[in-house]
Amino acid sequence: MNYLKHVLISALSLLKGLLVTFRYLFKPAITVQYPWQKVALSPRYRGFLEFNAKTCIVCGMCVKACPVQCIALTTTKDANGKRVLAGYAINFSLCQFCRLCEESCPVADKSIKHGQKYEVCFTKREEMNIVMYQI
Amino acid sequence: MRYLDIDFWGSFIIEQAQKFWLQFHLPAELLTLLFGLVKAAAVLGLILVTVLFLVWLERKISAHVQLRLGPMRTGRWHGWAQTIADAIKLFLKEDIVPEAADRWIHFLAPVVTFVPALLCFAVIPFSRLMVAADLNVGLLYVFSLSSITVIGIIMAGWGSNNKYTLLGGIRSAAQMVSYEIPRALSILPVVMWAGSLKLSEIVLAQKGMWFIAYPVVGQLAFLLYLISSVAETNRIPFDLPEAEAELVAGFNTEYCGLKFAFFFLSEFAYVFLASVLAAALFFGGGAGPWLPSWIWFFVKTYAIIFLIMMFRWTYPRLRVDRLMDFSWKFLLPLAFINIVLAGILFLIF
Repeated sequence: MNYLKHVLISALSLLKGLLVTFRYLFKPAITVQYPWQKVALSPRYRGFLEFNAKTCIVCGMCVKACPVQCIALTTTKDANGKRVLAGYAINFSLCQFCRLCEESCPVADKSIKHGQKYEVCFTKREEMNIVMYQI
Repeated sequence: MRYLDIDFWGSFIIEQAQKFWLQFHLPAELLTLLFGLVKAAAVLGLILVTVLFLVWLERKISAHVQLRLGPMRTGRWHGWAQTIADAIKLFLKEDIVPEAADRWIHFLAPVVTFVPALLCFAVIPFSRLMVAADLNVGLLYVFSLSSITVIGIIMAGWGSNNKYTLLGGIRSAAQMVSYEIPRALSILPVVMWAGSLKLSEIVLAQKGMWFIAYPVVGQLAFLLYLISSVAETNRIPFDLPEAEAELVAGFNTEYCGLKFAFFFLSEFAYVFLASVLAAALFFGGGAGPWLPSWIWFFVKTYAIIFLIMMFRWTYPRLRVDRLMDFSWKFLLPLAFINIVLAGILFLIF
């Protein structure tokens, strides 16, 4: 009697398992077909750095904030003797995407910030030093 | 509705072909041989297309059970051409034979595995006309031929000269021989009921009532048949001969390209065969309302194939000793009890 009970219980548990997989069969897939569909990124996602030269006040805070010294900011003087931006380059082989440069930027409309772009690839080490702005 | 009927088109094509060939005044033997070849080619084509579809279906079902999507790229619509691309890849691959392998056995193993699977389809009645050879010992023929496959798998295990493949071969020998017995015994009640081994007659005998509806005996026989068929086809949860994790794919470790494709083909051909037989033996073959019989036959077959595929993605693999216990200590006595029960029931009613 005990044996038959055991057989019955195991048979029922097998059916239960089958029911679970059957239910899962009709659930929507959670995977994404990558190059065609992309996962929506968080607004605070730390993607590739973007530089906006128009809002930059050439204070050099980002250069000081950078823990790995990957930002190279060069300045020059214009006709009025005012300091203006001459060049802005970031070495992405050093950059660790920490957002400290963005946080240190004093301008309301951040001139250096992390964008949403993440599909970047380099084939040489020299290519990784990207010039964002040049007079 | 008449144009949906495959028998209508089949007889039309056969008539036209006979008319065409008769004008050449060929000897009758040659004509028989010619039509036999055409039939064989048709069966082979059916198996190839079915296997391509089944592999795709398997991948899709496995994906959706795991909340994935499966093949989606090849051929645009849900990756329908994926298996065709795979087949082409297997065709073009280099044929590698291990240095220490027994060349002839290694070469013959896929052939010995696949050819019986192909031959079994000769007696399957897909519809009234669509049966290559309606033997009066059809069932016996199917079961005796499908047991040859085990030799092919042992040959693959032995010929590769690799300890894992040999282990896989030994396991498959033990497993397939053990499960052959409950499988053959499980269909005896059907044979007793129909009074014939001819598949078309068994299907005809179920006109009034499908055998699965027969109280107790029918359901028990179907369950036994289903379980031992899954074991016969070496599928999860009985896939010990090719257990990926422990035996690195078992008997087919050393095979690649076309030879591997043959093993794959035979495995899926046997799944299809088991489902076709289940549909014919327990679900009244092509019986059903409104639609033509061949559509009903395929609907039933694919329902069973779907069930077998769901088994694969639901159950874990059995342990070797439990596998043997299950066959000899559980399925076999149950099959005998079922036969006795069937005899008593048939005597009373």
